Amino acid sequence: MTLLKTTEDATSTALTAQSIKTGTDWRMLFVVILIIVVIRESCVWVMGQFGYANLGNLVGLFLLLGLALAYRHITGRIPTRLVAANAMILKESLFAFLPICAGTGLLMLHLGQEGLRILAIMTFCTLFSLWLYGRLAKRWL
Amino acid sequence: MTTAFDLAQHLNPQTAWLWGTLLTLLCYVAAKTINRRLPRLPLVVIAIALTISALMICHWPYEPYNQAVSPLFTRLLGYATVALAIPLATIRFDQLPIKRLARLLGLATLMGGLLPMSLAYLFHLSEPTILAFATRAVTTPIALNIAALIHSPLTLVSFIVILSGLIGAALSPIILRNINDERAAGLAMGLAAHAIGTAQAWQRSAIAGEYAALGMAINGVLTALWVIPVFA
Repeated sequence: MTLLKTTEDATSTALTAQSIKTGTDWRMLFVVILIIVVIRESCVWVMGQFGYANLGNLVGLFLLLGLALAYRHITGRIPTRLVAANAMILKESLFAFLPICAGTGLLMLHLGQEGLRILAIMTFCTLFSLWLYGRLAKRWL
Repeated sequence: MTTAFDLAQHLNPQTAWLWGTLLTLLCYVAAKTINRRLPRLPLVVIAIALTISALMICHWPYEPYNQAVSPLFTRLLGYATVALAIPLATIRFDQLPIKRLARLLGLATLMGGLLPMSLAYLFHLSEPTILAFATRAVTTPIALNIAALIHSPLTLVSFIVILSGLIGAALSPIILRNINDERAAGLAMGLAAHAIGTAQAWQRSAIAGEYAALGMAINGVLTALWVIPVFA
């Protein structure tokens, strides 16, 4: 049973990777974008009514997660085409971070004395955590 | 000679967002092309270097550029956050060692906040700066909400969060070079470098991306659960 599940997962991941590398399923991509946009905008609007508009993205994440888990529970699996289209969006999501990352990069060039200490702490903590979690996760998962 | 200030003034505010977006897109596409030839150089580093260079070449100061593109890119960041739900839903938890995973997540949430805060205390940094480190390893939307509740400076919080994500994403290929388990590498990137690390994990592989999303989402929620009662 476990072997069957593992094989199913491997096939799904391989299909996802293949879809990313080869053709683009434009119709499914459009459907996924539509789902994401509708859910995000609705959640931002609803949370805005309570005065927490900036929590809309996270509420949207958990709402879509709940819907996807419910769908998986009912049908047994999430369609591979949908997973592949969504993976394509996430693969290109680095683009959305570019302006804010560029700003941080520029700010780094103009750090004062306290800024340098902050930078040293951040560099050490991030890289040490990355190294430690990587090793622990490799051993424990 | 046209100065940077002059050029910024000559840009039509109604079309500046379009030029800014096109410029960013061009830099991203160019970065992807370079990354295909130099895969060892992280895409995020190449893209940032190209964007900063392009802004300098165009004599476009960062502030007006960011002001112009911010509404669109804030939306795009929101969509990228919501899109993380699908890979999270595909993960089969029945195949994971839940107890050991919980131990790792517990360690990550405590270490993500307490380690930088302790170091900041040792470096004699000011109290608001020490507090700003509590959300170092948390994705920006959650970090800003926690920061508002614990009264830590919002600008510094976003700077710390974004920069630590950037450092983690940029140096992950070196730090994780000996980790051949994509699940472990992804989880580490999501836990240590949140959303930017997750975006970089998707460049590595789909499995790494899925586990990075898992690490980022759970770490954000767990950190909010203990940081707010302790420091608010």
